[in-house]
Amino acid sequence: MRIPILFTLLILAAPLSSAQEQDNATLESFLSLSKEEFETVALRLEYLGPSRGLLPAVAITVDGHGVNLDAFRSLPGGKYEVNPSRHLPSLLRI
Amino acid sequence: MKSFLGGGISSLVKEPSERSGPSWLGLTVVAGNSAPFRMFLHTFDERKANDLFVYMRGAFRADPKDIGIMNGGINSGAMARLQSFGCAIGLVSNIMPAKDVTSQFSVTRGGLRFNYQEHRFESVVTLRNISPLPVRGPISLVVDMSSGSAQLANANGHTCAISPGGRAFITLPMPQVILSAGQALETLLWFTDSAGEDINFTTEVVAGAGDR
Repeated sequence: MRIPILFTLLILAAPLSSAQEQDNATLESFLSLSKEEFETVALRLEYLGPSRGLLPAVAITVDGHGVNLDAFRSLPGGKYEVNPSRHLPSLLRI
Repeated sequence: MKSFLGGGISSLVKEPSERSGPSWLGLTVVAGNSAPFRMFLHTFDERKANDLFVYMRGAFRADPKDIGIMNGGINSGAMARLQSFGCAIGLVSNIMPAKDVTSQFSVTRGGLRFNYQEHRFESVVTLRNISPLPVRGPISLVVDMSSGSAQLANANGHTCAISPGGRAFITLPMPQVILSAGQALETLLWFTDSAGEDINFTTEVVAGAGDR
């Protein structure tokens, strides 16, 4: 079964801490979203190992739907900005 | 996306007690058009991060029989970005590289021309299977432009599994999974950031389901 087409974005944000994990929704709860809500789902992968912070995080959204920056900004420590000089419509950086 | 979130990732995040190292990779999932947003935060140690990465790559690839995916059309952007990310943090070291089939192909470059509508230099490249054997796709042309300032603008990604890494490659559309002896493929290369006089590159042809 094919998943929806995805595209990626590059973003940066304050790193996660273990304390921030306490307020998690469960991953399964996303599966109960309506179709319209589910199309707003965005994933972010962030490197946390040595030399962290040098590599922009990667965000993945359902194709045709841009990342809702307000959602990422609502995360603890999340400060997102769109790079005004971006060359690709799907490329964002702080 | 539902199968993506409900499958392997769910099982991976349910094993926090098995954490064997420091946080290596953070996963955030958000949803919603307005506050309050639904959010999920989780961190993985290096071993689990590798498992997650393998799972994501598989999910992005989706059905390997899908000709659109083989041609690099579907999810290619996401795959390329994910590959670059994984390559940068060393999560793709144990993958199988695609097979170098350069000796089985002739690569013919057309003349360099300037596309005034698109404001870019272009060149048609033809790959012909000159071996007596069929070659299984997908077939990619690795374009090494390290000697000049020009860049390949329509690359599907950059090499990581194939050494040296960081070279642009383009995966060619194929009418069938197999390219028979004598058959040829053609693709258009777009170049940017160049005045045209220093567009120099070497090529390598790789094939098969392995990583680029």
